[in-house]
Amino acid sequence: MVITTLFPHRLRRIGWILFIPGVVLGTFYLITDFEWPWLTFTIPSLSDSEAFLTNEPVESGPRWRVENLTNEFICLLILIGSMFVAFSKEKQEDEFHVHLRLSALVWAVYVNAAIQVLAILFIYGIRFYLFMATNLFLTMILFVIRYHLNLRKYKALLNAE
Amino acid sequence: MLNKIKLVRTMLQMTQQDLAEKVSVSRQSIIAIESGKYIPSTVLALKLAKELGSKVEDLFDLEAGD
Repeated sequence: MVITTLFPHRLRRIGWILFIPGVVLGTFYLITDFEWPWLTFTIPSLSDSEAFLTNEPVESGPRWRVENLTNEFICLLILIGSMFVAFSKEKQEDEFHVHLRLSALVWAVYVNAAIQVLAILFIYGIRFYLFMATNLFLTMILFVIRYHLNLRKYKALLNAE
Repeated sequence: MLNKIKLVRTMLQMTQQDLAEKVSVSRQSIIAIESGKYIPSTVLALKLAKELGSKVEDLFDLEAGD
């Protein structure tokens, strides 16, 4: 069985070009909270709240707002990059790659769930929300790492015969 | 699942790459199948048997616990 809904193989390289800088910038963003001023725009917002983690009823519906998009830009780099890296076809895609993908995906979901359980039990306050924000990408990151490590293991055997 | 693919393939003096090309899969797949790390689908098992001139049941055998 070959999955037909995968991206073309050529998008794999583009995926790495987006994904690696995304992860590096994301880590840097979490540490320093930096912003690029040139990424400040007036954008439409479907829903937002200025009152974060308070009981104040300051909710707002659709409106225009001035927003620095540095974190949104980094999130999109990681998300789109990881999708291309994870779900681009191999040069010669076959059922073994489907098997590797499925195994890696199940592993990533289990590990992510275990990490979430630990976070729910041991992380509180604003740090929990920070964790959940980074957790948006953790399953994909774990999947990419696991799949490519397994793939590399079999590639290393190619010179064995 | 035990298999004799490597044995039969080497008897036929066929490389992994030759066999992979004949059944339209990657060499990685042949390596994984020969080492028992991956059990092929019925379609691939039938293709392998055809290219190796064997019957599927001669190439693959159940282990205790399968």
